[in-house]
Amino acid sequence: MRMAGQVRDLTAQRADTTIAQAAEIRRIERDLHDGAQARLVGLGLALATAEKLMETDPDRARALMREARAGAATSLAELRELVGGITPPVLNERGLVDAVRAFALDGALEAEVVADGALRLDPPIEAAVYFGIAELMTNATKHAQATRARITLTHDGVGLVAEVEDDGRGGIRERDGGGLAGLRRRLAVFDGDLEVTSPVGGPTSVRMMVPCASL
Amino acid sequence: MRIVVAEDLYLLRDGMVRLLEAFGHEVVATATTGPETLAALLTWRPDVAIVDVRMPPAQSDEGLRAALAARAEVPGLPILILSQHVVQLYARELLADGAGGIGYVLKENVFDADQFIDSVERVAAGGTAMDPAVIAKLLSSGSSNRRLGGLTEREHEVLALMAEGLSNQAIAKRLFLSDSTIGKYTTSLFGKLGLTEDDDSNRRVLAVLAYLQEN
Repeated sequence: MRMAGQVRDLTAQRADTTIAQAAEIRRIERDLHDGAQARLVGLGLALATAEKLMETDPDRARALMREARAGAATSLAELRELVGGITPPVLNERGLVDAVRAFALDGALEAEVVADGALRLDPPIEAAVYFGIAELMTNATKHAQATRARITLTHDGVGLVAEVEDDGRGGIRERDGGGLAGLRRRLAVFDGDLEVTSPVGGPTSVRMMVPCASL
Repeated sequence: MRIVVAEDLYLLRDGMVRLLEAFGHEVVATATTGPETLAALLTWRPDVAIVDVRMPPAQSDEGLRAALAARAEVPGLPILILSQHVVQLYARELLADGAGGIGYVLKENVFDADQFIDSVERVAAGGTAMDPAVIAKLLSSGSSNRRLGGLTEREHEVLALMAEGLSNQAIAKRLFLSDSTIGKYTTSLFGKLGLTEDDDSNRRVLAVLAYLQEN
């Protein structure tokens, strides 16, 4: 019976993940279609027109080329934002620890990162934990009105333990369909778990634990 | 100038070499992997090197690491890092030795050839060329925000351009103001930040960047 329950839970989690992934892929397709793809068509048109006008109207041709250059720069900026949303580049280039350091530097909170620098995990786990930390840091700023945070990343022999502590007003409760419940479901895909300690008045501490080998 | 270009994508490498040659510079060597880049930098000791962050074999941050390793061997070896994205974490690593001769800009900067060549020459001369996006992040991070609160909007704008590596004359040109007006702004903002003004514009930029990096 217990096993049947676990299978049901897992099936529900997988379904959740699949729906979320499909929605994400649709969003990416739409962004590319309306953004970069449309701009590249515009760029090609501008260049074709400039080529045609080169001898008869060089001023207008030059203006079109300038416009094409600006369009290329805008496309790059859009693509960069899109790519950053899929995986932050530092996560690919340096792994979880430096990606979290980079994120902490860019945020509005004064954040300290304490981590074992050599920690490398499977990329899907690194991504899940990274986005989890990003979400917790956003919550700390937006909802808990924290000014400082500390992020700790360690491997306790069983798996990764990632903890985010903030000095905000606390009193966070996990609600069905809320952000924390979503994070718990995303970690459950890797058999991971979430532990929230948040007395009213603060401080808040959220621990994410994911069993895995350190690579 | 004698330049080394390290970029693994053929189209970009080829375009960059042509652009540099069109401006009368000599590309003495090109490199397409991290190890090749380090070897080329140490063998040729160019006037300036233009280096991509992500390169084979692992497609992580080999280019950046090669640049840092080369500067550890040859202090102040001028390097302009070109990347599809800019992150504060890497900017801080590049600036950490305080030796100058560092640039870190987005790839689309090459679209404005004059400005790009200006950055290349500035770095070769021991100056700095930081992308506005990096500076914006440095200026808006938690601790900077508080410490820069006393600056007027104009002083903030001047500080940002100074941190990119621009001289007073270049800032004046960019803001359509006179050199002496910019001089007044820099004196006042240096006073507010408690920094000693330095006539040498490279040392001044390094002082500003060091100040912004303090946590």
